[in-house]
Amino acid sequence: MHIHPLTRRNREGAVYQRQDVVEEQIRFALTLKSTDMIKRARIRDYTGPDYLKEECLVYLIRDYKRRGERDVIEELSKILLARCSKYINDGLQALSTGKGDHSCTVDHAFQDVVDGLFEQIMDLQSDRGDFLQVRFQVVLEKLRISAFNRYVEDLNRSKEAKPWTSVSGHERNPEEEDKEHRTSNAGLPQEEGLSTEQQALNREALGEVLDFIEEPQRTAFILRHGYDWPIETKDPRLPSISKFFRRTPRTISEWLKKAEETIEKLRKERT
Amino acid sequence: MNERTRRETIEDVLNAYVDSATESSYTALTEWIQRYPEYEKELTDFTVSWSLRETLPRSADAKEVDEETLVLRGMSVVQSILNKEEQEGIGKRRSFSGILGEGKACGMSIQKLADATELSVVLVRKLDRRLIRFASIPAEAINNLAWAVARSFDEVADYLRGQPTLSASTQYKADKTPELSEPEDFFEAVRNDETLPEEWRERWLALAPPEI
Repeated sequence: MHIHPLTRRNREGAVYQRQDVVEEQIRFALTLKSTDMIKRARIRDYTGPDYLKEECLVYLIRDYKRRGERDVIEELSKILLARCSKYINDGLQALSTGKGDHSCTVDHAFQDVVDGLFEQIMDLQSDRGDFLQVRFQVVLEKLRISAFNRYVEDLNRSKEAKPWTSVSGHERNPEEEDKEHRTSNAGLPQEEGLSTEQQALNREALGEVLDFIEEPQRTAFILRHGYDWPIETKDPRLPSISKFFRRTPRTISEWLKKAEETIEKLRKERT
Repeated sequence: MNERTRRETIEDVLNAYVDSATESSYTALTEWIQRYPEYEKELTDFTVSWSLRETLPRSADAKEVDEETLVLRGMSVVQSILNKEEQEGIGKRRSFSGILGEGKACGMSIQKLADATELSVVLVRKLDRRLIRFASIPAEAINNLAWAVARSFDEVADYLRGQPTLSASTQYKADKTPELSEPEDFFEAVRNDETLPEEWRERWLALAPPEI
C-alpha cells in the first residue's frame, strides 16, 4: 500500500520525514475497512501497542478527505479533538486572569487553535500541514501559544491589579535612581545566572502574587524574574526587556521596582 | 516574498523553535534570533507570550469545561471548514488544467510534483503532455498524481486519456506542425529514464505486467 510522501522542506532544505512507527501505523490502518480503522483510532491508551498516533490520524483524515468520505472525516476529527481539546483549553486558561469574565476570550482562543489545526489538516492543496505528521504535539503547542499571543493584548488592556489599599507610592531619591536603575532585587534573590530549575521555582512562587501587579509591569516582572531576561544589553542584536517594550532601561527599572514593592508589602501583610 | 509565503515560512520557523526548546527560555530565543534575524520580532513576541502562558495563573473563577463540550465546540469549527469547502466546490467545477497546471495551482513546482508522486521530472512532463500510452499507466501512478494535485482519480485519468500535446515552448521550422510519435509505454519509459531514482524504478517495474 503506497503511502504518499511528505513534500514540505525545513529551512535547511531537507524534506520532513515521518517517524517509522507512524509510517507503519498508516500502512496498517489503510488495510482496514473504515469501520475497523475508526474502532482502532478510538483507543485512548497511548502506551498500548494498538494506539494510533496523532500523526497517523492526520494522514488518515487527509486520505479520507481525498476520497470524499465525509462521515469518516468527521469521526476521525472527533477522535483527534477528544485527544487534544483539554490540552488546548487548559493551556489557554491563563487568559482567564484579570478583572471580569474572560471565559469568552478563552473560548475564542480555543476555536482559533482548532481552526488553525484543521485548516492545515484539511488543506489538500498545500503541504503546509506536513509537520503535523512529523511532530503533532509541537505544532499544537505552537498554535496554542500563537492564539494566546493574539488575545493577551486584550487581556492586558483590561487587566487591573487586585486592589491593595495598603500600597503607597514609593518616594524615590533621584540620586538613588542612577545607582540602582540596573538592579531590581528588592526582596528577591539575585537572578543573574540562575539555573533553569531555580527559574522554574521562581515562576511557581510568582504565580500567586501576579494578580496584584498591573500591566505592563507584570510582563516585565515575569520576564526578568521568571526567565532571566536582562533589562538592557550592550549588543543591540540581543533581546532585552527595554527593547521589547521600547522603553528606556530607567523606565523598566521603575516598573520592576514598583512590582517588587507591591510584592514586598504583600509578603509583610501575610506574615 | 509575498505575505502568504512569509507567513508560512515563519510558521515553519516557529514549529522548529518550539520543537527545539522544551520551554520558553531567553537563551533559546537569542540563539534563534541569531539564526533567523529577519524574524526577530516574531520570535520575540512569540517567546514573551510563551513565557506569560507558562507563568500566569488560572483565574479562581475560571469555569471547568468537560471534554464532551470541548469536542462539540471543536467539531462546529471542523464542520464550518468542511461546509465552506463544499459550498465553494473546491476542485469540482474548475476544469482540469493539466498535471503541471494543477500542480502549480497547488503551489507545487515540477520537482515537488515528481517527489510527491515518486516519478522523475522527465516522466511528469511526459504524463502532462500525454506522451505515455494511457492503457499502460498503472492505477497507482494515477492515484499518486491525483493525491499530489488534490483532484480525483477520474479527473486525472480523463486527462491522461486525451491526445498527446506538443510542448508550448517548442519552436518549429517546418511548414506544417510536426506529428508526434506513438505514445510510449509507461514501463518502457521508466526503464529508460536515467534520472529516476533506482528505488522508485524498482517499485514501478514491480507493477509491470509479465512479459509474454
